[in-house]
Amino acid sequence: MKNRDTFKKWLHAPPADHGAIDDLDRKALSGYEYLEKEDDFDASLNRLDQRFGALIEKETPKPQPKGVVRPLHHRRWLGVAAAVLLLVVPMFYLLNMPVSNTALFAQHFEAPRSTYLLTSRGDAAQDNQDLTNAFALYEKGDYQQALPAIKDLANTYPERKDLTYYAGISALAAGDTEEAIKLLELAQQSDYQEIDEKSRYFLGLAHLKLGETVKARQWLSAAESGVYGDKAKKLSKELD
Amino acid sequence: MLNPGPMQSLSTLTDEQLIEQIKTTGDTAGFRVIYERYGHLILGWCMRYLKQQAASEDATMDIMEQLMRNLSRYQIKDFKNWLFLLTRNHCFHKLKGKTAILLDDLSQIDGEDDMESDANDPLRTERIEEALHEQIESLNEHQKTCIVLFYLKKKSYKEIVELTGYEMTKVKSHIQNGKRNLRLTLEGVIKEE
Repeated sequence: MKNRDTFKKWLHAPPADHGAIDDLDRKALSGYEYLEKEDDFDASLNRLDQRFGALIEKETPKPQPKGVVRPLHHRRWLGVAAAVLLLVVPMFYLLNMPVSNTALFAQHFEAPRSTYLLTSRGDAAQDNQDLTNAFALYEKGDYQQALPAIKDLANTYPERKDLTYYAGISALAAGDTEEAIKLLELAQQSDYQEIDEKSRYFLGLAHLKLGETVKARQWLSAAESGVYGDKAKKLSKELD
Repeated sequence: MLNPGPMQSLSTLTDEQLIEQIKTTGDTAGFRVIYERYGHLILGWCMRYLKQQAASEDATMDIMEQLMRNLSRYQIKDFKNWLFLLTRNHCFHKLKGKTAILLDDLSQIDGEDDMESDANDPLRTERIEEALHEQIESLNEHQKTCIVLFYLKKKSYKEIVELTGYEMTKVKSHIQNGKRNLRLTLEGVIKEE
C-alpha cells in the first residue's frame, strides 16, 4: 500500500525513480498533474481530511449518556436556566441569522412547468389518459395529488426519468423532502443531460430544506455547470 | 492527517478483513482506515478523469459517502481494483455528455462511426472511455491542454487563448491535431477488441 508520503515523493521524482508502482497507483499519480498549484497536494488532502472527519462524525451513532441523578435543588435551578436559555437562544439566533435554510429554500424553490416532458412518437406513456390527468394536477399546483399519480406513472415507465424528475419535484413541493431526494437521485441518473442537471439543482434545494448544508453545497456545486448553473451559483453564494 | 483514534488494531488488517469487520460490527472506525489507505488514491483517480481539483474533491467525498452507506451490499474480492472501478464509473457518470461530444466529434473526422459508444453495451462504452482518457494523457502537452480545456472543461476558444497564452490559430490547430491523434490511437484500441 502506497501512502500519501510515497505519493508526494513520486510527484517530485522522475518516473524512473518510482520503483514498484502498479497500474492503479500510476493512474492516480497521473491525476495529480491536474492540481491547480504544485503545493496543492497537501492542501487538497487537508480539505478532504476535514470533510471526511465531518462525515464520520455525522455517520457515527452517538452513545446515549447515562443519566446523572442530581439533588432536587440543582435540578430546579437547572430547569430555570434551561427555560431562560430556551427563550434567549432562539431569539438571539433569529436576530443574528441572516436567512435560515428554510427561508432560503422558500425563496428559491419554484416548481418548474411540466414543459420538459419527453415526447416520442408511439410512446405508450404519451397516450395514457393517466399522464394527462396527473400533469393537470401538477400544473394546477395540487402537488399532494400529483405526487402519487406521477409516481405511479414513473413506476410503470421506469425508463422515463422525466416522470421520476417531476415526481421528485411534486414531492418537494408537497413537503415530502426525503421522498423527493430518493426520486431526484434516481432522476439524476438519467441519460438525458438536462434532467440530470436540473435534478442536481433540486437535490441541492432538498438537502437545504433538511438543513443538510454540506450536501446542499455538493449538489449545487454539481449543478453549476448545468442548465440551472446560474441559479445554483446564486444560491451557493447566499449559503456562504 | 486525521486523528487516528482506535485505528491501531484495525490498521493491521488486510482490506478484505477490514471490510468483513465493518460489515460484522458496523463500526465506522474501519472507514477511517480505508480513507487513510485510499483517500489520496481516490482523489488522484478522480482528477485523472475529471481534470478539476474541486470537482475531484467533491467526487472523492461522494465515493466515501457511498462506501459508508452501501458497503454491506457488495461482495468484494479485490478491494483496490473494485474501488478504482467504482471511482472511474462515478467519474464517467459525472463526465457524461462531455466525453460523448468528444467521441462524437472524433467519429466524424473521416465519416466512420465505430468510435461512438453503444448505449446497449455499457462494457464497450467503458472500454472506449477508459481508452480515451489514457490517450488524452499521452497527447503532447499543447494538444492535451487544449483538448482538456475545450471538451472537458467546456472553455471557449477565446478563454483557452487567455488561459494558455497560445494564439487563436494555434489553439484551433492543437485541438484539431489532438483529435486526429486521438482518433488514430483509439481506432487501434477498438480494432483490438
